[in-house]
Amino acid sequence: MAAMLCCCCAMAQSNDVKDNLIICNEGNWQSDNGQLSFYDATTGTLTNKWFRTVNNKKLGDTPNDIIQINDDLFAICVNWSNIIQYINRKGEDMGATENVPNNRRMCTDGKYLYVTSYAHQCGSTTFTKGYVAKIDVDTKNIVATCEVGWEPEGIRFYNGKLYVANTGGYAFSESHDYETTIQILDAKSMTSIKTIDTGCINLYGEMSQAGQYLCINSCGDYYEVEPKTIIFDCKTETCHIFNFPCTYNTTDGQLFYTVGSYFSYNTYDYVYYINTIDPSTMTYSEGIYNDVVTNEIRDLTSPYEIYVSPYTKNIYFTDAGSYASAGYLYGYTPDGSPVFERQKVYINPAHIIAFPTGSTPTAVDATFGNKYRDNGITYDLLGRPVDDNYRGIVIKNGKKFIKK
Amino acid sequence: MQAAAPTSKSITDSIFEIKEVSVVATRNLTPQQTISRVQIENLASSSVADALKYMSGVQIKDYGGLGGQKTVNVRSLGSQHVGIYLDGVRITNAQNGTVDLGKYSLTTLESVSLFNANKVEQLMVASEFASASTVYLKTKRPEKTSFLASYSIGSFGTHKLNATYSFKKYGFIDAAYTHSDGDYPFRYKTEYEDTTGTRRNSDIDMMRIESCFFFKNFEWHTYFFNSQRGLPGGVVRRLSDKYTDVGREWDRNFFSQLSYRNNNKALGYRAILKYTNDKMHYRSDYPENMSVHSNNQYHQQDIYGAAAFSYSFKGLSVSASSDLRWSDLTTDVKRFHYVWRLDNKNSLSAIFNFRGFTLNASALYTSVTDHTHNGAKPLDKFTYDALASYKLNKHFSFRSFYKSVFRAPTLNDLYYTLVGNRNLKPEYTKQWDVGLCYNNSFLALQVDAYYNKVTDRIVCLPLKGSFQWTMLNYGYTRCMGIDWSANINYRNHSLFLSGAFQDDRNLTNPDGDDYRDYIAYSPKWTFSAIYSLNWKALSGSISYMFVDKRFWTAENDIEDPLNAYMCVDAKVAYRFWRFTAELECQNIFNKPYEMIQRWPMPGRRFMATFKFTL
Repeated sequence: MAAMLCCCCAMAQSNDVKDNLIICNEGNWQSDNGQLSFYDATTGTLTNKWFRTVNNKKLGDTPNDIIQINDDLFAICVNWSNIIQYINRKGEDMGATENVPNNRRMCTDGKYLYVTSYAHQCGSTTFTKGYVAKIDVDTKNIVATCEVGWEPEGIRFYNGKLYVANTGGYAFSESHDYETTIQILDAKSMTSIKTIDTGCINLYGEMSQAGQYLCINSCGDYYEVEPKTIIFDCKTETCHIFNFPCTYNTTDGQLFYTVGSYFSYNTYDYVYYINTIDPSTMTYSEGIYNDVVTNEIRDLTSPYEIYVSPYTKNIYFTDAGSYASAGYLYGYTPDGSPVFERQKVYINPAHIIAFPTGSTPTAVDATFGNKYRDNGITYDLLGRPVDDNYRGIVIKNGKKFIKK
Repeated sequence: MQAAAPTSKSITDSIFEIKEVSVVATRNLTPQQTISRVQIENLASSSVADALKYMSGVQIKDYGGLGGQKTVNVRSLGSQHVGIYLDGVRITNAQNGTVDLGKYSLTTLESVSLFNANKVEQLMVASEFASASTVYLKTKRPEKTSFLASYSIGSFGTHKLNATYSFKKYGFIDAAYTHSDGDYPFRYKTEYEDTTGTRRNSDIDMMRIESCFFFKNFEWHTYFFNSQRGLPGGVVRRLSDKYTDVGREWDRNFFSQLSYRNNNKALGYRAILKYTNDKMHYRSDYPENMSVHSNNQYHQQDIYGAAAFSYSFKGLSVSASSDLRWSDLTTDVKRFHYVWRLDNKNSLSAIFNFRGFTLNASALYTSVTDHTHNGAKPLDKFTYDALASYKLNKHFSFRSFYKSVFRAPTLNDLYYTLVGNRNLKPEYTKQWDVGLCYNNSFLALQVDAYYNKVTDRIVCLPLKGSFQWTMLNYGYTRCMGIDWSANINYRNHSLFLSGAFQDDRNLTNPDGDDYRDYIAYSPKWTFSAIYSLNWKALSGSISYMFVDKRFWTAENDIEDPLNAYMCVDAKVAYRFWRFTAELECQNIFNKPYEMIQRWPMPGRRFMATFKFTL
């Protein structure tokens, strides 16, 4: 935790923090061509085939999610390779966990990594439906599992609990129906506390978290059942439903930014939505940030990810184009000026994660010491500075407490 | 392998003894390559795909091993544009439009021929005009009464049993059983990886019983095939063999076809009746499977009837044909509704001979209607082709053709759950070809230059801003190339050479980074050579195949292409009394290669066969 804090302090100290970006490109299924791209904000250069070049090995097939665990550790769900790959800021291979096959999405409390899986097996343990695995970040070993619903997708940590979106996404082929529930687990004991029925089916896709609020996409069934956006309040355990999809969504810690398509096989028509949701009022407005950003997103051939950096509030998004050629990365500041010329990445750029420039994770103790520990700034568990509206576990002056 | 239909009586070598029903007037009108019975026997191969791969302009898509699906793509038009015809009757698959050539054995065949555009002769039925390229499998009519039994044993746990009873002139019954463990080793070695492993879940068991009877102008062919196979996935990064994806497929195919042909007089008749019943069962609901647990059955039936008439008068021959195909598909896939399709085709074709000129023009009218819940709109289209040739002297002739034809969206394209799109338009191909043939007593040579394009390609893409993939008409590609082949025969030696150059590009999106890039898996250069020798009781062949590097990503320069490869196979056979012993080795130099990225092909493998003839 000390290392994390020091890092954020360094970042907070600097006035012109920029975003280094890791882009996780899915590649094509069964082609073993998942790849990472790295944007170095200091030099303004983008490196493709990053993992491959740094480690002289391939990342694997269909990397599905990337998150930051602590200052210098990132985890990647390499779905079809059945592994969770760890890397540091330099992209170096920091080990891998094998026993969570068909892994989907992750969240972390800094000490443990929580991973959803569609499979029915974890090591020697078997399940009827899907499960969540808890991995000790130090040992990279699985320490506990908990069965959840069919095909669990998004997962978030709030106040000692895990919130899992069950999809039932294989319902088109398997004998079960689509799921409609958010399942709440106790992260410490890895036991299921309860399930909340949202009334919406197939809770598939990105799941963003702004304090106590979660933004969850409901795909519908692509025939009669329409897609929805669910804003779930972890505190009151209630849902607010919006009548548009949020296939891709992100947050700056307060607002949710969403992009989605409503498509039906009955009509073959689709409607494309770009919206901003304020969970504190449960209202939404059309567009994201401003006309420049909104129009750029509207003009994409195939939007594939949107992401707001917690450090700069810059918005980044990708275009997968034809899904067979290299996609592009776009970046805009909140006032609508480009961060860089669009950058060519790789096939199906599905996830972005930023970490700030101006700090080096090595020799953190020596460089930063304790003087930033008592700077009065509030941080979340990932060491990101948060403002007064943030709800959840925060760290201030080196002490952890819950802000309600 | 012949460059042209062998109708000349001056060639008496046994290699040329093919009883093709062809009209002299149509010789060399369209590019044709044939592999005959004798050559089939000399080749180290067992399936129709193995024979076709040596022909120029052909790309085989093979997922590896005996159980891997094998489809053929000619001049980069796509496998669904290649019609496979058994004795003039098309083998169809209304569900997905592709025919797995691994299911058809060479043992009962007299010849395998490939025609660009279509074959040209009198009395063609309408469906024979309906594909961009055509492969003809011609059934062998026995010349004597005999019984043949054979047993083969080969690498990777492969065993084959085959028995054929033939009754002189009247027909045969052939039965075969094959088992292969398919657990071949593979290796990927690049600067980023050194992966070695053994192919798992690549086994196959297949059984085939086939009979064909000939009586006067009738031919009655019945076929039954039953198989169970594993479906291995692509080789991707894994830390161990612990977690894998497991799928298995069971196929049962049956057809019976009766055809009648009479074209000995000025007025010719031909009629066909065929019934097909295909079942496919796919399962992945095994505990060890990490992904979707499916268990689905697909059942297709097909009833086909065709009639053709022709009238010849001096240098002119006119044929008219009409055929009707009823097919249906039943499956337990969720949200898939029972569907039946009526496909009616009518053709009118004229062949005209004048001095050295031969001209052929054909028109085809296709009408397709689907009957299902919320079915697609009926499809009605006219398409045309025109071919011309000029025979300069007894050695040289020139030819040219134009053909436009489409493939209708398949039932999967239109209706498959969570993918199908009933608004699809047909996918069109247009082809232009000019060629030159040279023949003398020991050499047959042909060279063709072509240009073709495919528009409204039917592809599967996700929709903007949605996770959902759906079938769409998206894409325009063009290919130009040169195909050549030479067949050289001298005494008991024969040498077949073929090669192709092609330039196959994506012209879909002028703003895309893949614009004008090479189409994935289209090699620029290919070359093959087969040398065979028949000497007293000994016969043998060596075949060589070279395929240039191939890109596998739509945008070429973002990944390294698949390496060029060469593959050398050899076979020797020795006959003594009623026995024949054969020994074959495929991929002698054990070169690792792949036709589909991450689907490794087997390395060196052997097979020994013992045959007994009574």
